[in-house]
Amino acid sequence: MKKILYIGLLALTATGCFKNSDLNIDPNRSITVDPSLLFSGASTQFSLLRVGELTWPVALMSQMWASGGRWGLEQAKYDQTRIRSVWGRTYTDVLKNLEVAIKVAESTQPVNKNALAQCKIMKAFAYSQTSLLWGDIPFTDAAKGTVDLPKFDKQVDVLNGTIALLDEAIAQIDPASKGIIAPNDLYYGGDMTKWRKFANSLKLRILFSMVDADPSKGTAIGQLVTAGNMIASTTDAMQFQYYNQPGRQNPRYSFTAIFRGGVQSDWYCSNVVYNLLTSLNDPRIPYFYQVGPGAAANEYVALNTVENYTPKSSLVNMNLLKPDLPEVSFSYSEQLLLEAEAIARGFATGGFDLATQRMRAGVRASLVSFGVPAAQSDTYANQLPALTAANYKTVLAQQQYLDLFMRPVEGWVQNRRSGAIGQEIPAMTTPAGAPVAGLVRRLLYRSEEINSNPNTPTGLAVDAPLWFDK
Amino acid sequence: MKQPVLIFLLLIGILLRVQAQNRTITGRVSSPENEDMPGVSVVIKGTTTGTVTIANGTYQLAVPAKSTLVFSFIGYKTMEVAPGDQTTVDVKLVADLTNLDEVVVTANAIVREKKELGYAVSTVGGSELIKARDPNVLNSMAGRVAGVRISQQSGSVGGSTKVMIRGANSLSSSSEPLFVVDGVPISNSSFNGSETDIVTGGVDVGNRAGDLNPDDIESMNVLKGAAASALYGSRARNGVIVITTKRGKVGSKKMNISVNSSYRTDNVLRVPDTQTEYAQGNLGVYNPRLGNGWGPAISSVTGPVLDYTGATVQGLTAHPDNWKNFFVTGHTVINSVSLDGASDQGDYRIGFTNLNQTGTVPGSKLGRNTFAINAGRKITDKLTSRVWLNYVRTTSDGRPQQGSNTTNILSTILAGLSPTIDINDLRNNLFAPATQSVPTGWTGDLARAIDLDGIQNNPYFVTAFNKFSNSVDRVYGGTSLSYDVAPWFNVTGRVGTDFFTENRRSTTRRGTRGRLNGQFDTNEIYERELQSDLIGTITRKISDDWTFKGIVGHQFNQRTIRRSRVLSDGLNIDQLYTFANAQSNVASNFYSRREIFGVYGDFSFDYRNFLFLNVTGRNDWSSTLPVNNNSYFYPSVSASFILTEAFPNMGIVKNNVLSYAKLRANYANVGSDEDPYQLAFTYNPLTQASDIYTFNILYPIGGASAFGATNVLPPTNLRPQQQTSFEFGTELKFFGGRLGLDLTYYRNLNYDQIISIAVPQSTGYSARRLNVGEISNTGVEAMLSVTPLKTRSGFRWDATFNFNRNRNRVESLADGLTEFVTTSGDGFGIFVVAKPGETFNIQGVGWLRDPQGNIVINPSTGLRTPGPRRLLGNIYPDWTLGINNSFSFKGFDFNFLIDMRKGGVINSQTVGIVRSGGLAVETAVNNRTPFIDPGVIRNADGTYRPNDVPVASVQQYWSQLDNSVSPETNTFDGSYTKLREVRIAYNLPRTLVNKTPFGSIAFGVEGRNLWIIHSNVPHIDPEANVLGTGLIGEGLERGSIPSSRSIGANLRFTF
Repeated sequence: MKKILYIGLLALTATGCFKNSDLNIDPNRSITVDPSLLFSGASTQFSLLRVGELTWPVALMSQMWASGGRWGLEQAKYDQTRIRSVWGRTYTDVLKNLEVAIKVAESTQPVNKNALAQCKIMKAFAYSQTSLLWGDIPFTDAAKGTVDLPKFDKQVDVLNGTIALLDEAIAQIDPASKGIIAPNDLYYGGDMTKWRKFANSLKLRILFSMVDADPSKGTAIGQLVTAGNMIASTTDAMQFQYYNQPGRQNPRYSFTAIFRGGVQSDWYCSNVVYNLLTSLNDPRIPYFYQVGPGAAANEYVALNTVENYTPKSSLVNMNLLKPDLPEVSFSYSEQLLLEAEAIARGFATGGFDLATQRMRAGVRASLVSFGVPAAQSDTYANQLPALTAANYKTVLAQQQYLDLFMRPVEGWVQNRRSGAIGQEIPAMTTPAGAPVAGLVRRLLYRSEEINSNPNTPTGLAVDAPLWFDK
Repeated sequence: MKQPVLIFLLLIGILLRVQAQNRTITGRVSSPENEDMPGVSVVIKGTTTGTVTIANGTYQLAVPAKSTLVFSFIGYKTMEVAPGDQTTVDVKLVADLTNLDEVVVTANAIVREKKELGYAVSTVGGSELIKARDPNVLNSMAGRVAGVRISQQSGSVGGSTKVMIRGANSLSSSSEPLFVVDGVPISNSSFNGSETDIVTGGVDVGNRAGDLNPDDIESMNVLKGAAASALYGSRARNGVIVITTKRGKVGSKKMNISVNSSYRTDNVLRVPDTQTEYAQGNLGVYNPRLGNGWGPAISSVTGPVLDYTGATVQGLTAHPDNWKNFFVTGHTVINSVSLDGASDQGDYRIGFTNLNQTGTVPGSKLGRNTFAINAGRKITDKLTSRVWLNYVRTTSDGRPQQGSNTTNILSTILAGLSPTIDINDLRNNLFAPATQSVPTGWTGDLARAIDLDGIQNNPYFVTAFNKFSNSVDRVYGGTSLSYDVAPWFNVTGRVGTDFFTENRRSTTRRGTRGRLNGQFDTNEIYERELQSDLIGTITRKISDDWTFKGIVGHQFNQRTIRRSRVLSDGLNIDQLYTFANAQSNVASNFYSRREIFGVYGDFSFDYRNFLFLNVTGRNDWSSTLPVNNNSYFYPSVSASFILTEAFPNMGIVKNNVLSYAKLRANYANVGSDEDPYQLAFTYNPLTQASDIYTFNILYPIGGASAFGATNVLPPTNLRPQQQTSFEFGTELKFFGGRLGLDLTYYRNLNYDQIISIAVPQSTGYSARRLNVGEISNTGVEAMLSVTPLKTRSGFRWDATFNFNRNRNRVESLADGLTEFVTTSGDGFGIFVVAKPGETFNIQGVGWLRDPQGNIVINPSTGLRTPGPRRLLGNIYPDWTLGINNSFSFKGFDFNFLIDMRKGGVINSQTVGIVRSGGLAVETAVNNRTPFIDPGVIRNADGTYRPNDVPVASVQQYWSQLDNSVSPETNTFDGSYTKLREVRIAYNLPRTLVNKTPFGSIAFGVEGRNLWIIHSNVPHIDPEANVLGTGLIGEGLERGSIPSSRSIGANLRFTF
């Protein structure tokens, strides 16, 4: 009878199972988190996408670099299958984590307003970049987990939204107190003054991308330039540092290091950029490129969009693919050239004299950043023609495009906004055998989104211009 | 929730009575030939009390008054004798050719007579498994069991074997059955990293059921439906393979010794047919920088040219059969010895088996040592105990990587091997000469490449240095104690465990092209399962006509997994695989534990031994479900009716035309739980950031660590998953067993599945976890056995036809969801997709077609055009058929098994690669003269005309057919007919053996996977599958190691 009792008792104990058990609490993951840990993850992922997956395909499609027929990345194919994970990772690994970090920071007392501001600035950065690549994108409904089928906001609304987000962030910044600091702030180590400068500069970049489609933005640009408080030196530049250690190297280096044992043999010199440099007698040629293994010293040979490489073909200089080079999100030269444009276009005061001065400073900073010696940079900058109503469009657009040589995402935006359709500077032609008649002007939505979100716009061709592209 | 307990207590109350007076009965059991019959079971009818006869056929048993004794032995008719007042009962058994009273082991190691069962059970006897020994015992089941599909996933040593019983049951997890050894579940895990890890360069690590040693197995019973297994709990919904290990048997001596030795050789069954006429190059122009066959005719290249190593040679030479010559003959030696014995006081068995195998891939090998102990002891008349323990150590080395994307995929390398390359050069020269592309500044050893550009490694360098090796130490076993409280009431307690530690390491040597600095990956895996059962069994005769048997039990099950992994990158010193020698080490670890408490009852009623009714119920409490909804109850009911015993006087029964007829039916419901830790919104510590180029940025970077919020939105109001199933069947035997038919119809429905449904990535999440989706399987299983010939001289021919047809259908998904990608082979360009109203399909970009379905040709190139994504076909077969013929004559036994599969598709990347690379034999026909691809051209007015434009070049035609453009052309009908097994066995006649010290001697020759009689897939074995046993879906082949043809011999003898 005793045994039976035991059986009964054992069975009964089961009925109260797991009521107060911590057995199903995940020992591998946490249910709380510090926003700064989400911030460092979001920043690293975002930087990696810019410097990795968004570099080669965009640089090749937009004719900034040439493929020489390597790796099947023929420019003529407008091959977007090489940009498979950016859309998803931007939303799920960057924006979502920033959104969650904001939520956590808002619910922690006292509220760390600087941390909120840093997250919002990164959010604005990521949304503006995504919109400038794809056009209309989910923004108001996105990355929250509360809306199952986010609607696609118009590009104009997204970009205006990011400006509002930046204004909100700037208002929350208090340089006297701490936000997310080193090591988790991988850009500025917690320097909120610099974050404010970047926020204003980013606003300027976004406004410039909009101003051709919405001329009213000129006023805002003018106010911004007048108010200052933007990136004002190379030390203010927004950049993500890489290191010469395995796993922390700039992926542009890792590609060549791993697949080619350090021999650059994938990214070639494109006619478009090379011809522009030669026409300007630009000293950046040997800094942008190295001669091919079968070429004589100083024998630079560029490729067009469909040519196969030969041993003489020039390549993107290995010095620009070094393991410890930072990913540049906003440079001082970009800032100066944008200011020059603001003044030249009359959005800000100062006239062409000041515009020329800013332009020359910007070009100088650009040359120096590519390794051109200071004296040579000065000489080149000073011999550039003074800006006039007749020439400023071309001279500035040429210099802005060359400045963004290693930043294809911004370079592609710059080229699309540099003139009306078909009048971009520098001019490019559709590669032979391209699937569409025009130049590539947008990324296509990924099948993952199309298949699961009926709000995804359909029927778009790769050469259909985005709203901003006027 | 307390109901099962109440029922249990109630039954105890009703049935608890005073025990009757016992007396002792003795006797002798003999065969029809009056030989002593040891090992015959003698049981008091209606109880579990009993004994077995000893060596001289005698027994002794304490028996209550008015009892009946039941004598049973496999292959003989069960006899019942009421001793009355006698104290001696001698019995002569009668042979039974119809096996009416076969016993089977069902849930929780409960032995039942087969006729009682209201569901289909298939048995594979242990003797079948050791006649033709395969290192993975599951392979021996192929084609033998109705409703069970066995598929070997690759030709890798220790490779995995997939088992699917009655179709796929889940959208989110593989539908592998539960494996149970002696009542205790064991792991069949095949953990192999993430989906991406597997698809992009995984090793076939095998599945842990492959650790089972065929020599220690007494029988394997396959319980196919949920009803057969309600007592095992949730995991049994995919069916159960119940394995009973061997125990000591009463023999003529105190100790029986048996020895079994096998030797076999393996050769690759099929490699791609390659051309030997054309060199590497492009559009007929020779180029040693490329790894393909698109150059000029080899014979046309005569002058001095550079070869693939950069050396100048005088013309090129063709080297046929490079692919085939790369592989070697594998050897397998299996030796096992066992000692066993038994008496009425107890039994014991000790077994040891050693297996040594080398594979068809050079340098690949597998070793396994198995120790098994099983001992039972009768402590008192009422108390018996048993303990069983198995220790297995498996080691392997040099398993090849499969899939794509890493530098070490053998078949990708072989698929780029131009016929101008002499494979002997590669074998003898692993390293690159100075003339071959050497990266600037590189010092030290560098792999020779198969192309001048230095892209693909020498395959022999890969097999020599870039190895996957592992070792598994595993123990499984248990102990039980059984007490007869009363003759009609038994209580049994059992505790069992299965745990193993596996260490894995894969290395990539410095100097490997594509991973110049070298790397290695270290994994440690620990898994443990613990289960205890306490079972009360009551057997009572309620009246003359009715017998009742009730089982009530309690079960506790706990499963623990612990894994840790270190990825080490950048080696300072060549071939020194220590963490300190790596420039970077990234460590990650994982731990999970889950528990289930269950109470169950199983109540059967037997009416006059021809009508059986069985009702079961179980309630589980699972740790993985929400605390307020973690309890679920699931019932089953089944019935069996033996027509021939109910109406023994019917004409056809009496004259033995219909010797046996049984009808059975059952209905069951199984609830199941969720994976652990899926309920909370969590933050994961990140080890890396990544993009598609796999140059991961490792944390910490710049001193910063990082976290990320979950990408799967956790569920709200989660319910247990459900399966209901219905089965109806009959077993018929005619003419004393010369013709038999076992027929089953079944239907199961799985609903409320817990899966992660993809949500738009713009939500910030990739999926939401919830209860959705319905999948059904409807099918027919038929086993027809015939004895066409049986002569007085002893010649006998038996044929068995084993047919199975399963219709798998996705009934519904979540609202608004039109398809669900179960497995994504993103790099393949193809996906395994579940779509409502369909079964699981392969989906990918198809060719553009006109409304009549003709392929639309581009008039400017003469080539096909990729069209929209579409379904390319079912992954599961329409039906399968196994035909086994066996002939026996005076100790000779000849067997052959033909296995057929009809329907289902397979996509082969290997076919795509050998074709697009211009190395497949069909790319070289007709001197590569451009031809017209049959199809249509679209006219300006929208009508179509037959294509009249020849392809721009043969090279462009075949390159276009690559998977990366459209997987359609590389997707084939997966039907095949195979000669699976041929076996000849010879048992030396007793008259001869008696003159030797041996008890018996048997000799056999066997061949497995011998011949693809028919297949629609060119170049490869249609059975290959890169997804392995862990992922859902099959029908995707990529870089698989070719399967093997094995031929071996076997010698068994006993002392």
